[in-house]
Amino acid sequence: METVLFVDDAPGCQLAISAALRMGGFEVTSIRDGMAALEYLEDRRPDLILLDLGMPEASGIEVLGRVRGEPRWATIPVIVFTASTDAALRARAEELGVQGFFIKSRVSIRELLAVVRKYATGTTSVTLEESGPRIKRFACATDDGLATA
Amino acid sequence: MMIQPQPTCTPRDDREACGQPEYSAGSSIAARWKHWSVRAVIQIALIIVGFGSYELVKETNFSHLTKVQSHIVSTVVVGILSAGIILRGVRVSGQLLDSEMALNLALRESTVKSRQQAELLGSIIGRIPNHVFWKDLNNVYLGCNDQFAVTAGLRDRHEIVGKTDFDLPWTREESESYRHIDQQVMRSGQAVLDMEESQHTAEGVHTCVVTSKVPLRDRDTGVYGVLGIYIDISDRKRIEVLLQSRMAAIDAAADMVVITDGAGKITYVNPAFTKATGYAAEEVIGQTPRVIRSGQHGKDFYEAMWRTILSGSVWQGELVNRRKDGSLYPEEMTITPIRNDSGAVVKFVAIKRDVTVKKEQQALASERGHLRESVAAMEQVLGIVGHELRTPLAGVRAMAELLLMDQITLQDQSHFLKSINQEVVRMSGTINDLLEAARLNSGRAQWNWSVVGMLETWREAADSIAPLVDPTRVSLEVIADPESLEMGGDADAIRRLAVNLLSNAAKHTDGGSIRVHASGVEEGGKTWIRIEVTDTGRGIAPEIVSRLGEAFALNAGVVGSKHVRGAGLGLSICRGIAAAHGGRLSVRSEPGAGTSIIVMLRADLDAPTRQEPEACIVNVMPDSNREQGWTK
Repeated sequence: METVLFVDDAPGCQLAISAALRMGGFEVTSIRDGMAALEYLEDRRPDLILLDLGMPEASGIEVLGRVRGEPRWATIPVIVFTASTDAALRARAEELGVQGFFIKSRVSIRELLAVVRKYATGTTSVTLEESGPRIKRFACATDDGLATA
Repeated sequence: MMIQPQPTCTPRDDREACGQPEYSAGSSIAARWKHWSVRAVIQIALIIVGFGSYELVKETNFSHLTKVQSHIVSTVVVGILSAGIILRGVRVSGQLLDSEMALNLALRESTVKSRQQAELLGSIIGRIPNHVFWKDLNNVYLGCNDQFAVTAGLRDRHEIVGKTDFDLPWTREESESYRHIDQQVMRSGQAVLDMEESQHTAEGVHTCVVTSKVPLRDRDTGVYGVLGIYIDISDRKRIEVLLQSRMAAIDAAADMVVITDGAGKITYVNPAFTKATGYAAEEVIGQTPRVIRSGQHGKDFYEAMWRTILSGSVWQGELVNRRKDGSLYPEEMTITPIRNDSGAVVKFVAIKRDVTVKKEQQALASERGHLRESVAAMEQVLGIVGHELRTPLAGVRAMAELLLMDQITLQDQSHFLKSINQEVVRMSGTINDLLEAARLNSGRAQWNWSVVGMLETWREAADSIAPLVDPTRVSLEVIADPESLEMGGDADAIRRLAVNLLSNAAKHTDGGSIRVHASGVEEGGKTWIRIEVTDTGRGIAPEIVSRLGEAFALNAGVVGSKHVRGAGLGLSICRGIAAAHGGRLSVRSEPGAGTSIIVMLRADLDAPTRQEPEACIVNVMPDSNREQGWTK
């Protein structure tokens, strides 16, 4: 069973996304801040990290930087799942290297699970991909332009 | 001006030739006449006496003398007589000689005197700064003074004699003009006074001169020449032209210029003043600038201005004045005191500019700036709102999706529904706070003014936040001193402020106390309510204190806290409420030791102020001018 490290400090998301990932057949470790996530990575290697960016203690970008800077972790796929529409933040994340970038509330569970599955297992699930719309790898749509200025 | 020279000759040179001979001729005739008549009378008298004596001698008893002897005697007598006659004549003529000499001496004295006078006259003419010349009927120069000679390029003033204007350095036009006026003066017999002329001098300089010309008149022969006197006014003229151009500049200036005497009475205003104020020059000259006072500035303002300018310093400032039509206008003014030679301030020159347009432009520019800031802030707020709402929405959306799936357990269903409810409540709170903050900071909020009791309001607030506080670990206390303390304000708004401050304190305080102390204070002649909310919570780091009151500061990553989530709208709302009550907030916080928030609200207002909320937070860092901070 593939393991996913889910880092998010929002209680609603924690509950819902963890449940969804479990239902999708993943083993989920849910962590509420970046520092704890880095501690977790010290002795375990998840198949994928689903990462929020706006968090207390170490921010998502900090965590991403550390993960990409550490040879042991550098190849772990990271998918960003954030409420932020800040273009600069997104550019920074892409520069560091992410496999997906999703804006919270703009993506369905199905889409999210499909991308997680794709990168966690290296394959895609036919059922999910069929039933969902085509995944935009970088989901920050232009209709959000107002907030990205 | 009217100098009468010797009619036919210069006094010194021709004195011997014309003056003295006339005098000596007259006096020797008189002397001769006296001489002869006296001598004749005396001689006749002596002869008569002599012959009388001879007869007497002849008739007297000299019979004993011989004829010869008698003859000798008579001869001697005649001789004596003759000698007497001769001697007498000699003596008379000697006396006559003496008087003639005295006469000559007197004559010489008078000549010396007249020579001295002539010399004095000559030296006066030579030394006055004016140029002096005289010409005959044919415009031929008869003489001039040294100044004139220098200007004419002559080594000696005597060289002028016999020259005409065409022989001198002046231009042809000038020479012709001079001669024309000479002729006019001589023909009419009327003096021409103070006319301005130009003159090209021997040094090659074009000068400006003021000339007066008078006819030279003799009792017998009438007008025989012209005397001219003039002064070089080129320097004066240059200054005059300079002044004229400066005056023209002042007249044409767009800025108002007002000149007053030392007592402040207006002596001059330029057309710009009339244009700006509506007052014509003659309406304000003689008055003081009080005419245009608006009444918007106190006595102190004008006293300070006068102190400055009377001390001789330049005063600069902005003030509001009143036009003739009663309308007000803002102006920038610079008053420069003018001192006389002895240093006393005798005049004031004020340069003023109506800055209505500038003010409007400034207001527009600042409004534009504010708008731009507002738009930027709004974009930022929208971004943050998006963030604030997106996170719970994402959870809600995911849970709703899961609830729609078949494989969900009953236990999960109930979990999800509970969580959805919590998230929705949170989102609605955020939206309410956001709208409230926007309303309060827009300046268009509606206020419901009444008398608000402090004790009652803060107790209600404390009760409403009580569920957030663990009463076994944190004590919550409200003190109003006096208990009847009250103020004019919006009761709901003040309660809201109280709730926000107390809930902030509650959220950050795990143990110790939360204490509210309200009191009345006098400051700056106004009555204030001072409320201090002190907690023993975690405190706020200095870098965060400086950003308190910014909406969303808490969640924009500024105040990172595991324990508290929120949009940071609470203090932003408090700020708007404090502003409406003419007040302010001060924050003093020490991380780990607690936070004090001091609210100062005007107690004596009967309507909300239009104060900008931005100015309402005074951040006070720990240990920095603690006392000053509270009263600032």
